Amino acid sequence: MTGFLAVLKREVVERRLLALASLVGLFPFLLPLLPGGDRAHAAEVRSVAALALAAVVGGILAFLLGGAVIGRDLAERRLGFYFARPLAGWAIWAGKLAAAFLLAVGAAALVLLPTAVVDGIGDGGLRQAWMGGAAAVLLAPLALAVLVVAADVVARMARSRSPWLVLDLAGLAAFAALVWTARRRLILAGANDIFTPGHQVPLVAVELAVAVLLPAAFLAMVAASAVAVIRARTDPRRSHRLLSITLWTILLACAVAFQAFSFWEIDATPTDLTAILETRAAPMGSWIAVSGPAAHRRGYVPRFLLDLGSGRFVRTFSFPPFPWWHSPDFSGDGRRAAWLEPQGVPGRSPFQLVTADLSRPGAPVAHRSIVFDSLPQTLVLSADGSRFAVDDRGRLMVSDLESGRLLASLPLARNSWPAPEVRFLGPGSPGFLRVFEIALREPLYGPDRAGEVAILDLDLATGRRSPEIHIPGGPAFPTWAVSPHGQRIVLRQGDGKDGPLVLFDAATGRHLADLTTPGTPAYPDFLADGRVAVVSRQPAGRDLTIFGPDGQRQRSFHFAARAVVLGGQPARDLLVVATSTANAEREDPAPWSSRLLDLATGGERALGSGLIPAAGSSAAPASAASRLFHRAGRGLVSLDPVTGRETTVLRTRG
Amino acid sequence: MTVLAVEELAVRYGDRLALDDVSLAVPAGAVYALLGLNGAGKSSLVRCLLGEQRPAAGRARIFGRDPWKERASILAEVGVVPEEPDAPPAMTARQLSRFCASLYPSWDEAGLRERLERFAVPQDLPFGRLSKGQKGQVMLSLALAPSPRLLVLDDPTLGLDPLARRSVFGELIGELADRGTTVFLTTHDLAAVEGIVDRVGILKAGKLLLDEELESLKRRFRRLSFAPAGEDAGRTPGLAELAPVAVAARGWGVEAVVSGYDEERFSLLRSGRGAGAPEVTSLSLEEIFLAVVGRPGPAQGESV
Repeated sequence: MTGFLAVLKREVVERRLLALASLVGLFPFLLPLLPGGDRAHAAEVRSVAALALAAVVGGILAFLLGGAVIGRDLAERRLGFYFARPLAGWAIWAGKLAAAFLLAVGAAALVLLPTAVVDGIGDGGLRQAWMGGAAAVLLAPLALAVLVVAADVVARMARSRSPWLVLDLAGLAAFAALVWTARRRLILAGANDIFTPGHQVPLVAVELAVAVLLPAAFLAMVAASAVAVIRARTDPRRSHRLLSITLWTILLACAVAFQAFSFWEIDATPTDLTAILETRAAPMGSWIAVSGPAAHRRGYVPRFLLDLGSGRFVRTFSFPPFPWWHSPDFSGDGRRAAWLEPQGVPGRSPFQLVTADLSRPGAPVAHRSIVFDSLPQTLVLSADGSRFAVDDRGRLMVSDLESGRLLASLPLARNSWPAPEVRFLGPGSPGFLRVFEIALREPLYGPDRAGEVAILDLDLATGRRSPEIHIPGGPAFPTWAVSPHGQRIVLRQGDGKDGPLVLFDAATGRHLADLTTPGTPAYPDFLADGRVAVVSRQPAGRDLTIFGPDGQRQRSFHFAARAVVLGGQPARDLLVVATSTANAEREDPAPWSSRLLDLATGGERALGSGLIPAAGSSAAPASAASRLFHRAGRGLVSLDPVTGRETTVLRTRG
Repeated sequence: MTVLAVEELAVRYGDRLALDDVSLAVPAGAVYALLGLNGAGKSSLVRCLLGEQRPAAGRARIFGRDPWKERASILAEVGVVPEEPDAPPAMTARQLSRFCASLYPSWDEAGLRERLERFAVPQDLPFGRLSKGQKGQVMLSLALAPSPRLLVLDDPTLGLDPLARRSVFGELIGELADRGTTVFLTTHDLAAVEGIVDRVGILKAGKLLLDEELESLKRRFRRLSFAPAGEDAGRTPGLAELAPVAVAARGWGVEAVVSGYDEERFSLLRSGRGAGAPEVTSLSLEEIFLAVVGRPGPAQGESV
């Protein structure tokens, strides 16, 4: 320690004239006095100027001293003076770099001193310009330390003029390439966000990895710098060799580990999911889209197409900020799925249409030559999966999927929110498209919000548009639902946010029925068989009222619950619902109980607690998806409503 | 007691072998001069001894310890004067003394000042502004101040004027007289050290050609001058037994430097030549050095 302190003291004393840098600290006092200077906010101007000058002076000194204290002595063959004394190698290395660091920090502090003395360091003084708070107070010296060590490493490489410089450049290129490709791999997979339920720390996986890599890089430089002095001592070439070997061994090992991490991170499989955030089932067949956080993979919410029958899966892109966005869309026959993937960094790259042929073994994925500059809000496949519609920058475009040929294009003149609903009309390869657009009138937000729904049909053969049908909506508009095949629409109308729900014929705009319910209607939904279900609020619970396709009231159910979720129809006249006595999140099945309603008789049967239907009401009647549930602590289960037999189809690791 | 030893030492810089299988030992109180032309490997050997260079093979020992592993503790008892004065240029002699004093277990501040005054070195002038001779004198003073058991001097008079050279060696002689410090030095200044060295080693191209007491060396190296007898000078009867290292024909006769001179062998040569008996003269260290390093390098395992 004596040696370390002796070297430290010697280096500091030798450069004591750097204290003159503190004179720069007087400059902020001149600023308010200059012509045009802001004298009313003199203290603030001084604080900002003093901090900026301190950063500049500290940074420059850290760089210059870091590059000189060892590098220059080594290059000028003066390091032998220390190595010819009873000084440990570490004491020489640490003493010199610590001196450079202290001088840089000290000079920066001296620059701040006059302002701190006059204005203080509290809210009226330096603190008002100090944005980062306590963390930044620690971060600034750390940044100077990084600068000192980095300058030392770079200066010694440059001054040695040895052939190892070639290795350094190659090492740097390899390191940058490895880190860049690994980071890009994570970003392209959408593995860069953990702003999802269950994750409290707003760090992204990429940044998490970088947050590990940067300290590792700093430690690698520290280790390389130390090893080169302690082991190579006074030989500049050997010093450079050891410096390079140590530095690049550590950095490349870190970069390779980052590569391995990136491969591992995005290699999650459905069985790695710890929870299921979103499930979307194909209307027919056994494929579902499922996403959720993966075990030990912080920041990655992978999404898969999963065949419940075979367990086969296809990994699809998961949009980082909100993984439930843009779930793949299935064709009506369940034989094809389509989704959008960025061609590069999400948000900065065009989006490409990707499809999976679910009817073929292995569900081969095809990246189509159909690209969108920005991310469409809507992607809808026709019943046979041969056509698709997207809204792209204010235009609704319908294309043939195989050829990419544009079949029709339609300007969407109205506001982009909420996104239009689009339905291909008819089975097979349909020739018509029905578009439901909501047009809100000012003000767009607040209780007085009102608007109308515009409905039009598009003939895909001729590109001709039908005349628009306009149905006015009420203040709480847009509470609405469109039937699965686009034949009818339910809208909230009337005054107040709890106005009545009305059923209309979407082809003609004809009023079909007022959907009168006990209590306050909360939200409407269409069942897969065309019936309308409306959940309404009562003081004592929730009511579910079932209406026929033409709006005739069929049956009501009352639940002593605060939340109701509709499920599918495992058989005709059977409907699954889940209820909860709390306003529970749907991602957590624990507070939910499911039951089976007999729409024909009004009977109901409990299916169990800790159970919530996974696929919603759009699953085709009697389809596999209609029997799919989230089971608390287990994952996805298939429940036969008749036998009560429950089969786990995807066990989560939560 | 051996203060300094190297055993089968080898130093390699890439493909180049700077030292090859060098072994030598310096007993306590001895003055050892390691001689060699530039690039012979002297500084590499000194760097190994000071723990600045890790040998590729073999080992170095100071006080029986490994200087690579125990450099700092060994150097507490070693004074070092480098080939190039390498003290920080901004520091004055006084500051250098203060800095070094904090590193050694003992420090003769008064002795150092007295020495610098004797050298007439300004003590408050930055080291970088001193003359080369003064720098050398400061370095020697710093090396002597901790009263070391061993002094290692790597060509301490390189580039110094004769006056400065004399002062350095004068100081060295004084130190030896006062304390009997062991000295290991490399130098090109053979005339100056001839009077103080006990043992000499000669390096050539990384190989130690010779490691011997100076007295013994001077006893066996002689210059022989004799008139030509018509025959090939190199085949003069009895000359081969004296191990000639250099034979040259002069206008007046033949001059040979022999490395195996002794009276008995010489008598054979003399008896074979009758009245034309060779004249024998002693050689200076410098002449011996030139005779040794001037000849082609020895074959593997050969010594002079």
